[in-house]
Amino acid sequence: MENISPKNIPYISVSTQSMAWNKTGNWRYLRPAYHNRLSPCVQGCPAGENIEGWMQLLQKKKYLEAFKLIREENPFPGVCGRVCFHSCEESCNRQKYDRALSINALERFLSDYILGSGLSASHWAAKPNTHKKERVAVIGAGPAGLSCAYHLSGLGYEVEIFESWQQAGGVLRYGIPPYRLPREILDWEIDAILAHGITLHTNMGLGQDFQLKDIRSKFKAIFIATGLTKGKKLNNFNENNERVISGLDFLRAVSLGNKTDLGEKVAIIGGGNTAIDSARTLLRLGVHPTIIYRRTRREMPAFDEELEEAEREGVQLRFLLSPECLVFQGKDLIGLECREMELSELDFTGRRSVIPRTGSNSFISADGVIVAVGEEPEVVYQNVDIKVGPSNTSITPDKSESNPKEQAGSDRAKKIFEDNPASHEILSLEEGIFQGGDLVGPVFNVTQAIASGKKVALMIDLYLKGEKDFSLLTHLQIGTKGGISIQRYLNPASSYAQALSSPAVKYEDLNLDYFPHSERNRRSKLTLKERKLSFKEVNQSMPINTAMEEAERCFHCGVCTQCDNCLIFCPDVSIISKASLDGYDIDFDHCKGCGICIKECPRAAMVIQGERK
Amino acid sequence: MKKVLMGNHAASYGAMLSKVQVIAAYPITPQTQIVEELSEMCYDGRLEAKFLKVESEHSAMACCIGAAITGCRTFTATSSQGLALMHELLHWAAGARLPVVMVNVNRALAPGWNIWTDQSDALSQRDTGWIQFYCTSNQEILDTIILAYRVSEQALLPAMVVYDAFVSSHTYEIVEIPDPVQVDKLLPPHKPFYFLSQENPATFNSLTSPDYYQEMREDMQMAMDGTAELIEKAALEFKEIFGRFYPSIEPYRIDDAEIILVTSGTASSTSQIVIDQLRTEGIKVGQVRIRIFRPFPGHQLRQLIKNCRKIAVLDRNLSVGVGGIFAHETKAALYGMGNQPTVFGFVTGLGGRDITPEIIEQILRYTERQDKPGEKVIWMGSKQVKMNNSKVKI
Repeated sequence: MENISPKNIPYISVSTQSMAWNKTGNWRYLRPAYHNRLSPCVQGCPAGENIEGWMQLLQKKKYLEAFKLIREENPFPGVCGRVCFHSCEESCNRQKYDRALSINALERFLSDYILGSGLSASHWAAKPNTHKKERVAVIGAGPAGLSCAYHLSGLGYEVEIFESWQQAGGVLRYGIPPYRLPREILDWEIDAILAHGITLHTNMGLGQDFQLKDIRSKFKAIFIATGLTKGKKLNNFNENNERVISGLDFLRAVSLGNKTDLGEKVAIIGGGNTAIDSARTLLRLGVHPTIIYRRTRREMPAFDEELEEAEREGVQLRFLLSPECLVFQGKDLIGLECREMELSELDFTGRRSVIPRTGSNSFISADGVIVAVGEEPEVVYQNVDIKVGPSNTSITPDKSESNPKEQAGSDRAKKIFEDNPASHEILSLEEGIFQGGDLVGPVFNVTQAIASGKKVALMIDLYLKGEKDFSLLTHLQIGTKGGISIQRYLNPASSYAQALSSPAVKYEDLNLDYFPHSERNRRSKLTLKERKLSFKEVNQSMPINTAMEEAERCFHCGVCTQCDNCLIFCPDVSIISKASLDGYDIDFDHCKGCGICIKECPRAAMVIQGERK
Repeated sequence: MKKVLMGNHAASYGAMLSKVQVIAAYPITPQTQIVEELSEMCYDGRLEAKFLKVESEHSAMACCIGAAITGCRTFTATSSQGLALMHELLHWAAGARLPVVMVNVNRALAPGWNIWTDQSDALSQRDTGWIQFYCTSNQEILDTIILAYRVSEQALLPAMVVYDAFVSSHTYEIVEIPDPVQVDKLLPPHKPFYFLSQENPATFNSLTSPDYYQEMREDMQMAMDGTAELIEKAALEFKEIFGRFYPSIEPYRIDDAEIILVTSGTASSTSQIVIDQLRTEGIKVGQVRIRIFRPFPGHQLRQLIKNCRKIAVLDRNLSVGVGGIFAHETKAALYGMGNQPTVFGFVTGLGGRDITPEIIEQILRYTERQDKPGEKVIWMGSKQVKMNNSKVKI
């Protein structure tokens, strides 16, 4: 076969020279830039975690670094990964695309991974500061107190905690049952906090075992975080009976291992998390619980997940009933007489209030009663002798029945920051006495308490530096409705700190062409059979493959992940990789400012700016 | 191995046997089956090619050009509106001297929106520098694609293989599938002189001043002129290997013909029935079927028709203002020839209107009766419709 190649090379134009001499950059009137912005999940976390940041590290399998990043802001990833109400997920942009990212489950996964790795705290807990500054006292070793102590210790202070009960943990140990938060996890995280060089005194109750005046001279500042440890009483209801107990007392007794005999059928009055925790605990003790709530299911303040699980496990729920009195047969308690209610107008929390229905009562059969209608501070706290400071705040805040489902983005929280960022936390500026956690609210849950502890730690740091004006705290707030970032406090000039002051990335800002739809991965739970009469943890951890698959779903709103889209689509080949992980270099000699990079950035991590001529 | 294939699938087999490496296509009636079948061939491994789904025909040709400049053998297929959309890139592929092969299924251009056969689409692109092959049978379609690659890669001009919508594309015929080993003998892997490469970086087809442009065009003209010979050589080799011969012009009963009918496409086979019938009446008619439109085989045409008195050209296309395009090219080819036969230009079958034996008979009888055509364009098979402009008399 003869050679069939063309005989002649055709006459076409070929150039082997570079065209770089043509600096097309001077055509530009708009200029692109990499500008990390605030991810909405970061704004949604009351504890101020850099969620997007640790998600990136998790995806890169840098588990230890991810864990450490969480702990820069929040020393309780294992706890929060179990009991947090995850407002981050409610802020997640992905929910408008398919389903929100399982941030909560992933936080828990990370903590389980580190725990399972056997790495001691010395690998991931910051080294305790040997050169200490002043001494600070923290009263109460609940989430708020522990968080405050942790951050104060990190800032270089010597901290002593005074805890009235036998062990540290507060509501984490004596309120939340182990099937939600296993004790090993709690102990592991508390030990890691205390390993900072924090001294813990147990069985030291303020007002019982010591007074403030006893410690005032030793400490330059005091943080009171004794929480709400007393169950509220019902109006017009005689609770005086050995078979009637408050929810808080019941849960504490169970966690101490003390026997509580409430019979075989127990009526629980209330609709919050304490009522649910009491109900599910009773089930596991072989007792038949019925929750009695005066409004309807929609108004119940308990977390949805908790309510769903309670129902699955077999907790009975009775609505629109308000207890009037106990019913006896001889000396034995046999039940409750309840008034039937009906829904009325909206109250100040935005929920429907109830009024009694004329002339109808119900009898609920029960051998024991748990009253879980709210919490208040211990009476003993009210006897503390301190001078009320110039801020003129009373030391017993009025905890109105608010809905714990409110997130930090609530109007109330916002208002507190606007009016005076520290109005409720300051008890006495002269004496350096502060309060926080459930004592302040206005949202009452573990994560808010942790956030509160951090906030007061920063306040104390400012105070001890001679600061009286705490308006700086508003500048530390993440976005317009987030928590406080300690990273921002320590490194205000860092690009992360600057990103935190930009508006949070909205769903509309993203370019969703680059994200395939995917199912939200769920964590498995123990079967009902496995849960019977057992306090084993109900929620299981995600296996590593599922966790990595779930982490892949993160949009990384507003943060450059070096996905190379801008580089691939730049028609002028003007975007160049660089060694550092912070965006790309742009060849401004040739960039014409077409803006394609900005449009094709999937996660709105780029901005266009006017060109200065 | 013989298979019963529709015209479009015969084209798919042609591309598969040519071992194309990149296919970039956009669907359009009546071409869709070509690329559907090719996508299946890619999927199940019969063809190792990269299949790019693109968002328009313009992008399809752009992708083919991009792939071809890296040295790949590329393929696409389109029709009417799609071909029109590619127009600027047809000029580009030819100007860049890239051996892209494309199937164009002849379909009418809109408006009116008409999906049936009409040659105007491919013929509208006759100035772009593409080689054009016109096929009538499904066997010819398959074989011509292989030949097109062979010729295109030697001439370094792109080629289109053209056939009628529905009459060929969707009609099933028996097709002999050539043995791939034999095809490789006729069509070895493409070895380009120049291509994009990271080892020898270069920019192709950049800004060209008046000092250089003209010679590029002259080079293209010379290449197109030389293509006629390449086509003939390839046809002979094809016959040697596969036993089927495809001349540039296929004659039928022209030996003593006084009137020769010039056809292309599927009307050609219908014509042969009419020619046979008229021959029984003693009318000396013959036919030449033009297989290659570009480069127009003027020299061969002159040879074949030199003894006849009249030529009737059957055009299933229209260049508005000029008339039938094959007639136009025929007249140009005969220019300067002594004893030139009179050329009658007929336009019929537009928009897929059937070219029946009756119409062809009318064409031939008209040509026989009249000394001169009488009109620039003789419309056949038209309905009596009130039209504003009167016909031009010549």
